[in-house]
Amino acid sequence: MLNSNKTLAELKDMIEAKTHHPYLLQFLEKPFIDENKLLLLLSIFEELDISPEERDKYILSAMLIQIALDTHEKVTNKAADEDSEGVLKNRQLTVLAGDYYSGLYYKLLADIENISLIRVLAEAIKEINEQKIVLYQRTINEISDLTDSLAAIESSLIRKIADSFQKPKWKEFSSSFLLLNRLIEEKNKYMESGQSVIFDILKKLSFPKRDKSKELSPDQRKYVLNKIDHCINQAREATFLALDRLSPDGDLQRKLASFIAGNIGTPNSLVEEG
Amino acid sequence: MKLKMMYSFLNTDLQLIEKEMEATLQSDSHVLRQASLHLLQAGGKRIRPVFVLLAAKFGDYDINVVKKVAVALELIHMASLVHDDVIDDSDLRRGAPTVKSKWDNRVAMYTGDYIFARSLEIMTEVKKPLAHKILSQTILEVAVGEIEQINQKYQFDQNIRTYYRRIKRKTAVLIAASCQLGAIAAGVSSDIHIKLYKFGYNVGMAFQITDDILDFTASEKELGKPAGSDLRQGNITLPVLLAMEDPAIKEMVLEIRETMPQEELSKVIEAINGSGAIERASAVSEKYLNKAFAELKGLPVNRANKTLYEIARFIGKRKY
Repeated sequence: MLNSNKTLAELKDMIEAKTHHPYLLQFLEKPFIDENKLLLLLSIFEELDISPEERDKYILSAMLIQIALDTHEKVTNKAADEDSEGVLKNRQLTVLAGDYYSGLYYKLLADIENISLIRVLAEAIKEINEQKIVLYQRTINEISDLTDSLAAIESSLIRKIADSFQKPKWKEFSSSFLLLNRLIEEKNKYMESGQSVIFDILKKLSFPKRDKSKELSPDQRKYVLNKIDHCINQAREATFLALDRLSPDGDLQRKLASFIAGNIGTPNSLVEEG
Repeated sequence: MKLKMMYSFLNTDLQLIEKEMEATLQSDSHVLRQASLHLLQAGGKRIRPVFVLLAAKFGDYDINVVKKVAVALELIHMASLVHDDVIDDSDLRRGAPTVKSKWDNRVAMYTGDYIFARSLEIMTEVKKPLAHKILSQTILEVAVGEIEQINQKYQFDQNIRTYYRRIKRKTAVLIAASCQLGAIAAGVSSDIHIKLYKFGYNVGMAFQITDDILDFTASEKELGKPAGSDLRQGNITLPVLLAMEDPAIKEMVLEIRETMPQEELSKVIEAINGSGAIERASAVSEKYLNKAFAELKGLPVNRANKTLYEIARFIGKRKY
């Protein structure tokens, strides 16, 4: 347990060092490192017969892509004339920071001459953006399409890697585990701010003929929240089922099990945990 | 002679590349497909594919291999344009609405990332590690160059070396990489692809310096934007740096703000135009062009060599 914690912390340091750009940091927040995804990547690569150096580079390149995509997700639609100079500069640098992190991923893998992994990760970026557009444009007609789309956005990178390194059992687990996390995050976001893309889509699917200019009634709101809870419960069940199929004796698997049981929806608590 | 006439013998291959780009952008997502093709159909000079094809003529030219590099480079360029329009908040490009104005910033971000991913997928069909090392280094340099450009806006105390480094990253490295990667895809020896890289680098530098001169000398109609737009946005280019050697002009330049009335900006432009800085900057551009021509002299004499010479002359000396 101690070793995997140490490695996770080391990987985080490595990602922070790689993404460190003094000028960007003057204006932008430090890139968010998704520890759930980091832990999953480490779990997959720990099962392979590769050197720690090679493992670290593969993990680092996948995490750079995740960071690049997450960074671009922060670009807003606010019109320029509404923006102060600072907001505009922040947006410009957010776009460029994402491009810079993408460039780092390509360079890292090109330097170690792993052309096939460059392709695998590029395919994941393509798939993620195709699904992000679907979600953003709300062009979804079924709840199952919504959860499929969310699962693809959250887990394509890891699923493609698991496929490429012939570790299929991690595909199913990553998909349901990361979907579960996202659903819980979205529900929390809605409860805190009243805003969530998932809530919007479920609202549209649940009450297609409602007058959009009117607020939901309390019963309607409760109905939509129940739908989210139903999706969460399904994803939780799928996650536990998939976890059972993973080797139960590994440090990381035990860690995942305790994390799922106790801390779902509270990402970034892994490194500090014992 | 018009630019496109210079490489008309490549038309069949360029059409193939155009079709390949269109096929590459056939996303399952309707919006992504529309947004990507919207930009593709707006056209462009396709100068990067032209450089790729011409450089490949120095080796074993197989269009089925070379087209991968050409498509990848043009798509990388396209992806960066989609994001640049978000950065610059531009509504028009090549006379057509930008992705960000026809849809919005978010769609533009997804489209740019999608096109970038597709370009890398195509590029991975080229199984030459050196090509990937060069391209990835180039992409990173372009990104760093754009970040530097924002950092250096309105930094009137920057020196000429800073300017050269910025335009190298902003423009020259991608043209240089186009030449070098075309040659590598065609299996040429390192002495030749390095010469082609240097040719592309020097042409790229001359091209950007000419572009920076035109910001002062071309008309609004020719530029498609008001003269001095770069200066108004705080981009300190070679003509400005040279003109600022005159303390009186320096004083005027230090007053430049984005909100400066056009009348006042026109006075600064007039002062820069009358300072001899334009002629001096042109001489620098000419120097880079001559370096590019010198590289060509060290390469086999063939039709591609002659065409590269003509294109370099054209883009270095263009009036708008």
